[in-house]
Amino acid sequence: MNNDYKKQSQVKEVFRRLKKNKPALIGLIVISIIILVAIFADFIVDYETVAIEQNISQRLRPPSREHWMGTDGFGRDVFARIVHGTRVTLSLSLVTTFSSAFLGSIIGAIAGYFGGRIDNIIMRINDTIMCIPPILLSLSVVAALGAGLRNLFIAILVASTPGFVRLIRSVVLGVRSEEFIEAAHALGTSDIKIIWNHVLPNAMGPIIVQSTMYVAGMILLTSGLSFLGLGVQPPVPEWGYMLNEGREFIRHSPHLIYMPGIAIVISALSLNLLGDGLRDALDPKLKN
Amino acid sequence: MREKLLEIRDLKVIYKTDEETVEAVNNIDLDLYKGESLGIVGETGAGKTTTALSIIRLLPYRVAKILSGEIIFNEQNLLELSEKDMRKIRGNNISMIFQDPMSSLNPVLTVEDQIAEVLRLHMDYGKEMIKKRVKEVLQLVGIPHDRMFEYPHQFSGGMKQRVGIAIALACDPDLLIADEPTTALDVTIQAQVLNMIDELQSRLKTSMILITHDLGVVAQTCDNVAIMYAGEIVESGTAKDIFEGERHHPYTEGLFGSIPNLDIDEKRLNPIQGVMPEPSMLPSGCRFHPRCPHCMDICIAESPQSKSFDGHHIKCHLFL
Amino acid sequence: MSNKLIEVKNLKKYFNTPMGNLHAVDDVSVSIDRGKTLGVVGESGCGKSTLGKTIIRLHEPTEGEVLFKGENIFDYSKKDMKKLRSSIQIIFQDPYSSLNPRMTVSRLIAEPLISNKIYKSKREMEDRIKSLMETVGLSGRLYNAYPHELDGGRRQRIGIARALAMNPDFIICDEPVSALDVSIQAQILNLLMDLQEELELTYLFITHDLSVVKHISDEILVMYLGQSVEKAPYKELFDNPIHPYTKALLGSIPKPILGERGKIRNTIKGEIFTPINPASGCRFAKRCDYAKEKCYVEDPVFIEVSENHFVACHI
Repeated sequence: MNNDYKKQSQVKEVFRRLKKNKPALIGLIVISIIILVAIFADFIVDYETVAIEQNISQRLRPPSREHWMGTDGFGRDVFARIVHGTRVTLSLSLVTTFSSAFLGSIIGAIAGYFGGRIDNIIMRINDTIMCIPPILLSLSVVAALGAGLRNLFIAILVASTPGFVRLIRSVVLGVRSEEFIEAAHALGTSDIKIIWNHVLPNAMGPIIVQSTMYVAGMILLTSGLSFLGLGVQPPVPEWGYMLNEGREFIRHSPHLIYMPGIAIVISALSLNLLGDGLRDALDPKLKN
Repeated sequence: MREKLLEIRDLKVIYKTDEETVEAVNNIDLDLYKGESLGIVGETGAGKTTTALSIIRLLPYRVAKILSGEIIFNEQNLLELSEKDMRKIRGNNISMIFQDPMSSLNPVLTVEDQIAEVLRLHMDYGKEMIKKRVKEVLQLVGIPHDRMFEYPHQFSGGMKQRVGIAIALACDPDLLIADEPTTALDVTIQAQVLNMIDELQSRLKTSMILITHDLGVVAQTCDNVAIMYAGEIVESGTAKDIFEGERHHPYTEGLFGSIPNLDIDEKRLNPIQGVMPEPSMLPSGCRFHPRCPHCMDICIAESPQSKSFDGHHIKCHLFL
Repeated sequence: MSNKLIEVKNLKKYFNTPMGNLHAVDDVSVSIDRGKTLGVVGESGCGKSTLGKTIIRLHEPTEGEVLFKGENIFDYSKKDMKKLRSSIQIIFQDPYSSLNPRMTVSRLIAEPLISNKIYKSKREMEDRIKSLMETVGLSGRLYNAYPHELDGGRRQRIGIARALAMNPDFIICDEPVSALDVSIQAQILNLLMDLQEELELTYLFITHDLSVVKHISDEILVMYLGQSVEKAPYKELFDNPIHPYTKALLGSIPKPILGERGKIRNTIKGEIFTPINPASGCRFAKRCDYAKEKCYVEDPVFIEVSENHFVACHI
């Protein structure tokens, strides 16, 4: 308390606090490894010859020296497919999560902050969208726009944003009644600045936690859509789709289920740990 | 003739978290006699509430540790009792009135239920007897008993605090601990509640510890006063010693100087300089020395012993 | 005439509640001379905070006008209002909740400067922040501290620095010391008085604590359930209170003097109710010891009984 409050760069400060949180650090390391795998997938195993080339004579082999994670129904190496699947799965789920978190935060903040009629209109539309099961909703969006990665992205965005809007709105309602918002008004700060500088930073915690929880759900939603033939097209490797493919062989080749399953669990879990740590690290009240 | 009810000796309590150790209460001694009232006065962070919670053993158990001392209540050391025995004492022999009447009552239970709850716990009463006692205590605190089936939100702040007092008095406790009982109330309501507390305390002969930051409240209700600063009792004595005595600890003088006096016309106040020290980094020697106008060399180096002038204790080098 | 900085005329603020109209401020008229302080005293729910917040239009008024330097600010457009915000400022009660916990001290003090685009260069802004911190007695090493690292007194100093940043003429102090310890309270009160002398500020000082307001006010207005009950220069009010409610307020303060204990103090019976759709008649009548029949029927008028001493009471 007696030393000076030195100015430190925000990023450095957040990282310093994150380092103290062991679970978050583990999450960060695992996520970094997964991202590295995604980037260097081609150097680890070749895409064309191993990941998508079928080899019926080698089908449904259990894990062995040759195939670390066994082979699937078409004789493709599961390890190679998981490594390459990282790219598609992770990028798709991360991008959709953060996009819908961003969009949802802004819409939710507007609804919660202004209240009244704006709130009513936004929230009723939001509720209507939330009533439709996400799979069905994305299905209709993709059906309307056609299959493909970009349309899949839009479909998932439409289906997942309302959850964020609802969460952020309720958080903002709480923050809005705080006195420092009134104080900012009295100082002549404009509404947009108040939302950006005061409301959203104080709603950061729930946004981050919700986002990290969403990632796993996004992976499953993507896979569901891929399974229905609307998302990623085979033979492109994608974890969720691999799960679905493996279902047929669950009795005698369970590795087809648990290999991609473990991949999903590990990445979701480490994102969650990282998210929890980030929330605390970003909160100056929990300093030290 | 004066019979000791509560005796605190050398009590030391710390709060320990991963980052820091807070010395909340530092080796305090306190005596409370039967039928008398004691006011503990101090500012935020002085350790008043910690002292009270130690007596009733409700300190947050994960972080708080009682390092030393004993609390003798009715000839038994409360700190050595098992949790089970302690539970029998809480609400029965020792009861507590909390600061915030809005949040210390359960909003989904009627007032009758909440008073009856403590009776069912500690008393061997039948249904009829409980009902009778509930009416009795409500009358005691000035609430018409036809309101006993109402819920807390139907009461105003002052009335809620009366309900809190009724719960505390239900089992006829030997010791009543009131933690800032009127701080959340408006002045006119505060005056009503203080009058009532004072009147009940002298009529029922209950001993009371009143914790407050307001010297005015103490003057109206207490026989004895202890002034706390940074976890220590810097001055204690009878109300007469504190309010009319000649010798005072500099902190006590500062406290009096900070109160706007309604009867004298002065334009400026004489506050104490500086702020309360961080409880995790208390200063050396006398805890008050950085803010003290009479600070001497010895004050920085050595913590003063308490000196008694006929029961009026002052912990300051000026008087040693 | 020209000496009046701000004049509130027949201000009313009603809130719509499910139970009916809540008359938070009901027909209050006051004026404050430049460089003076008006203390507004009353218990919770008497509308004193609403009065302050309505004057700077944090609440929109139901009726009435506020003349600031002769102009009615309720006619102002949003843009004019923004300019006005630099001359009228408010200091809030709770230094714990009125500061955004995610901003540093310097950023908090800079906020009004940034919002109103006062300084172009970063250097100038920093200098200004540092000089403001010095004015309110905050040490420079706190420049990058967060509010939760500071105690209540220092936080309130930040609040004051923020209010001073725009060089206002008029500051509404909404219970600025109620959340603070007594020794800190006195420091902040002294600081506010020093600043008033130095910068020729005009204060509207809202509090529930008569003893606090005595030191800082030139005139005191006592409010009860949305209405003015008594207004007088501070000395007159303390020496010669007329309204039974004012007397009760004065009598209810526990004094740090012995010998008063056990005596029945001048307290009033009953509780405060909420002024929702109030009936006519004096609102204090139900708690008043001197209430006559007339008090329950007729609204008392706020009249001048002696020089500058106004009372609304039938007695």
